Parts: sequence; structure tokens; C-alpha cells
Amino acid sequence: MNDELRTLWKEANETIPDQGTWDVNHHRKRTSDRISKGLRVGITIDIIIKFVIAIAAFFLFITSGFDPSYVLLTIISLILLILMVAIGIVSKKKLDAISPDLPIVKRLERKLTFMKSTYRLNMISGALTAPLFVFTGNCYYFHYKYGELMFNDPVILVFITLAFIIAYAAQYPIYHLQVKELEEAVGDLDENKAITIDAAKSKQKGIYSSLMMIGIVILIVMLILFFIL
Amino acid sequence: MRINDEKQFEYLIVENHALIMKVCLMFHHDRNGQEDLFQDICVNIWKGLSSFKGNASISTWLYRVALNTALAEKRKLKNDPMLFAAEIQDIPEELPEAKSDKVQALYAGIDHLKPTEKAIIFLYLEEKTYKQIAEIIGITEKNISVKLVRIKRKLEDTINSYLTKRGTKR
Repeated sequence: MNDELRTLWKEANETIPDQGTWDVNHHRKRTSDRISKGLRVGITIDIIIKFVIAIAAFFLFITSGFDPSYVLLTIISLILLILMVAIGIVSKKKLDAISPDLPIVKRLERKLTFMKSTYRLNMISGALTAPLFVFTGNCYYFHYKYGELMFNDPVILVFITLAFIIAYAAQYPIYHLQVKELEEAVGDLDENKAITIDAAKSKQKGIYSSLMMIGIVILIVMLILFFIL
Repeated sequence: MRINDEKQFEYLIVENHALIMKVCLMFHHDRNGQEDLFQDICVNIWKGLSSFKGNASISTWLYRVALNTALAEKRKLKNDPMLFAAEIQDIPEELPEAKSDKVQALYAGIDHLKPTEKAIIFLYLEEKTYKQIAEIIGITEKNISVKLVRIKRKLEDTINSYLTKRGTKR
């Protein structure tokens, strides 16, 4: 059977179609099509939204007549913006650094590690857009309705937290599917070694990412509480 | 893009056209899919050419790049419902390019394999040694031999069942 398989394979490939020719224009077109898809676009859109929010916050600061109580809002927005842009750039660089000339199992492992560490952090960054939007939106509402920021109502804090949780939870099922699929692929190739080696690495990085996430959430909550008190 | 690099790249593509096309045919039945994968593999060869240090043979390196690209593309496809649906629609009932029932059965058998299994059996069919396959895939020779036994059994079952349905004796 073994030889027969190889003989059949030879028969199947006696004449290779000559359709495959390197065409840089074809590639450019496809690349430009692909730019509108996937992680890179997600990161870019997220950065743009955060940038718009930051501008809105800054605009509010100016229209408030440089009221010191609005400074914090601007600072929060700008810090988050810089942090998220940095995370986005690092994520993109790390993704690009996974070379296609690595042994197959190594490449899959690296993608898995990326998904379980850097990408998770990126998900947190993406999820923070929603509470940032709610927070800034509320600032505008209070400013134009009451002429001052009134964050002494815990319901607002609840909505801001909910916005983060919902945004994060919405991304999670897709993320989970992608990770599962990569784990299956690594497991298919090296069921003895790959998962265990990578599990240790990704667990460590996962803990780091979770701590970052908790840190960011605590920072936001503290800043908002600072407003209330 | 330096002229020497460009020439080296073009030479590599021309010299290894058959290898790249075989990977494309293994992972795609439709012409568009094959064409797209071909371009992707070329792009990755170009990107990797400057970092190729000659630690592995150029053939091993090319197989790695081609198969990594094909596997990455399959994953992307699976994660994009629109593209995945288009790919399903593209699979013809009669497999193209197949010359005999047995060859069609081989393609049908390959179709039933997981992408990573396709990569391993592809290297086996290309008459690579276990050592070479292990080097390209990145797992041990022992592991490769175990996997190949399973994959060949799976392939043989599908081929037999395909030929039985067609009423062709092996």
C-alpha cells in the first residue's frame, strides 16, 4: 500500500498545472483586500475610536473653560489612549514576528502563545473602549445638562463596569474557538510534548495578562471613585 | 528590493514551481484558491529569504514555508464564515486533474485528513525521509512514524470505501 500511495501521487502529479505564476499585482490586490480583515483592522479601528474619544474628552476640557475638575477626565483618556496604542503596536509586531520558515509545530506553538498572552491583553484593550465611551458620554451629558460632572451616583459606575464586561465577554467565544483550534492542531502534531511545554509558558503569560487586566480595571475604578468622593 | 535578491527569488520560484503547486493542489480544489495560496507562499518565501541562514537545506526551508502558509490559510478560512462558505461551494463533486479512479480516491482520502495530517502525508508522498519530515514539522522521528501509521490507515480506509462505492476493484 505504501508504494502504491506514492505511485498514485506520482501519477496525480505527472502534469502540474502551470497556472501558478508570481504576480505582484495579484498579491497587492489580495493584500489590500485582506487589510480590511482580521486582527490588524480590529486594532486599527480600536485605536481610532479611542483617539476620537480622547479628542472628545479634550474638547470637553476646553469648552469647560479649563475647569480643573475636568483635567482628570482628559488625563484618563490620554493615558488609556497611549497605553492602548502601545499594546496595539506591540501586538501587531509580535504577530508579524512569527516567521513562516519555522518548523510547523514551533510556529503553531508561537501562535498559541501569542493568542494566550499578547492577544488576550489586546482583548482587554479592545474591551476598555466601551467603558471609556460610556464614561466620556456621561461627562458630556452632565456637562451640558447640569454644567458640572456628577459621578456621585453608583449606577454610573455599574454601567461603566458592565460596558467593560459585556465588551470583553462578546470577544471571548471567538477567542476561545481560535485557541481551541490551535491547541488541536498542536496536539495533532505532537500530543506528548507541545501542549505541556506551551501550557507552562502561556499559563505564566496568562497570569501576567490577567494581573494587567485587574490592574487597569482597579485603576479606572479608583479614578472614578476619586471623582465620586 | 535588491537586484540580487530579486533574481534569487525569481529563480527559487521557477525552480520550485512544481513543489509549490503540489502544496496548492493538496489544499485547494478550486483554481482561485490555488492561485491565492501560490501567491501567499511566494510572499512568505520573499519575506523569509533575507532571514534564511542556510541552517537547513533550501528544500527543507521551502517545504516549511509552503506548508506553514497553507496551514495558516486553512485556519484563517475556518475562522471566517464567509470565506469558509465560499470554499465549501468551490469543492466540485468530481475532483479535477484526477486521471483515474484510484487517483481520485487518493485525493478524496487526502480531503478527509486534517490540515496538519495533510502536511505530514504530503511530505511522505514526496518521498521525504522520516528525519526530513521530522525536521520540517518540528517533532521527533518516532512521533512521525506513529502519526504516519495512523494517517496511512485513515487514508487507506477512505480510498477503499471510495473505490467500493465506485465499484472499482483495487
